[in-house]
Amino acid sequence: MKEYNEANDDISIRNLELAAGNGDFGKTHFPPCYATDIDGTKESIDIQCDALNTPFPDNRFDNIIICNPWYFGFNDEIEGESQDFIKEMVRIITDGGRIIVIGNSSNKYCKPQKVTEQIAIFNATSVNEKLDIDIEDITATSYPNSTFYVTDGSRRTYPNKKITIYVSKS
Amino acid sequence: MYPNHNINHLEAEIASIPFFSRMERSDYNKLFDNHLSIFLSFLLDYQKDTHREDFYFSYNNYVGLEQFIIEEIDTFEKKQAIFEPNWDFVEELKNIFRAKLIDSLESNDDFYRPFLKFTINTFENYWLYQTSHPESRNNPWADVYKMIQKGYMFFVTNDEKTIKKYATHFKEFKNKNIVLLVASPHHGVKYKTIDDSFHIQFHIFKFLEKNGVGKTNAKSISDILKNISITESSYITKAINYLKKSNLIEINTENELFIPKDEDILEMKDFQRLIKRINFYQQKAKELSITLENKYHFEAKNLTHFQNL
Repeated sequence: MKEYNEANDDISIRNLELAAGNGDFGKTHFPPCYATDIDGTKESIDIQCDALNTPFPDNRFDNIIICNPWYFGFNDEIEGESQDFIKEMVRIITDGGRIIVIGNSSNKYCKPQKVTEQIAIFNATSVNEKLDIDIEDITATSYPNSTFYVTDGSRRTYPNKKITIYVSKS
Repeated sequence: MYPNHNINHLEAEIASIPFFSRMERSDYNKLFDNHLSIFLSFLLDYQKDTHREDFYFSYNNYVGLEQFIIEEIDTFEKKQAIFEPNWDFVEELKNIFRAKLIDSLESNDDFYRPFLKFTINTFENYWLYQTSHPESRNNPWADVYKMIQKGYMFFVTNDEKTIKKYATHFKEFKNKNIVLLVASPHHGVKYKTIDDSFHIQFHIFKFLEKNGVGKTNAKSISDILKNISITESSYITKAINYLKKSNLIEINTENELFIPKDEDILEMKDFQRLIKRINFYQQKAKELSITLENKYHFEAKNLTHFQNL
């Protein structure tokens, strides 16, 4: 199912990895999990989609996983892009769901300071949804059996932060 | 304490950028190639931990290298930064730049969105690098930053549909490389295809890594070409020049190529030239009664050994 089709959607799959690339992090550590990416040609990808404009219905997933994002996430090149991204994730996640971001603290798209700032902006403007954030240090051994790669898949990257965003909706 | 990058001074500099005032290929062709060459030199320098058999500048390869360099600036520099990138400063500067760019564009049209995103991203990368290694001459975004200073807005893509949307004259891909699109509301959109010189650089270097390490293993260009599979030979000189410029290979007096070992320094053509020049200027300085060491904090005495060889 490379193109999302509601009729074929297995609703027992409650977790979603965005921009999964060649990796299988979501499937390994948060099973069962859909792996998605803007590039649908990769074998490991279940559904092709743009992280900023997903095809999923509202409140579809319990957990959204993002590993080492690049070119999307919590850094604005175009003003408001990060907020659009957060709103899209909040739309498809259930009340009580979690957004889990694994990355390197020097990655500008998920640097803890930038994530915290963007979450604060969201909370200041959102009426019905609130986000809480928890940041923890991780090491290369935090996720055994997983190797992280940069976008082209050729080189390893070593994430050192896990950011969990808790979503509550009223 | 961060080095003194003065935000007011830089704001004035940004304000004076002549956005979209001209559109000359010669303004960006070489600068963008230089930029790609520095990216590739990083890959070649550190490729031992990859199993890559081939290389083109695909979009994924470009973005992957960008991410790797930003995350591993110290590895790229081969020394630890004294400073962390100054994130707050870069954010402030980026906001100023974005406002100026959008103001100059006089349009909120989504048409220019990829140009804005990529140009602002490039601007940000340049300054993240610059604030952590302010003395460096290796900033891989220095050449594309010059494109920004000349007033250009640009992005790269592999997607044919996107290219044809912006560059109506674009016919088809001649290779597997990205295409650079440069836009100006007053001059339209122009594109630059990236030639195969980077693909050739990759294969020459890979061959030398296996067969041409050290001055005693130097290989002639015809030897190398017999042993590597490249379909396009027009860019060989360009590829060799870039490899040489990146200090990844050296050329001996017989015009043979090799990857230098530390002890090969005396065989290097450039080194010989440098010694000749130093001798020349030292002689001139002597005639003028100037001591180079004192005037330029230049430890010329350490070179005496080599000059006498």
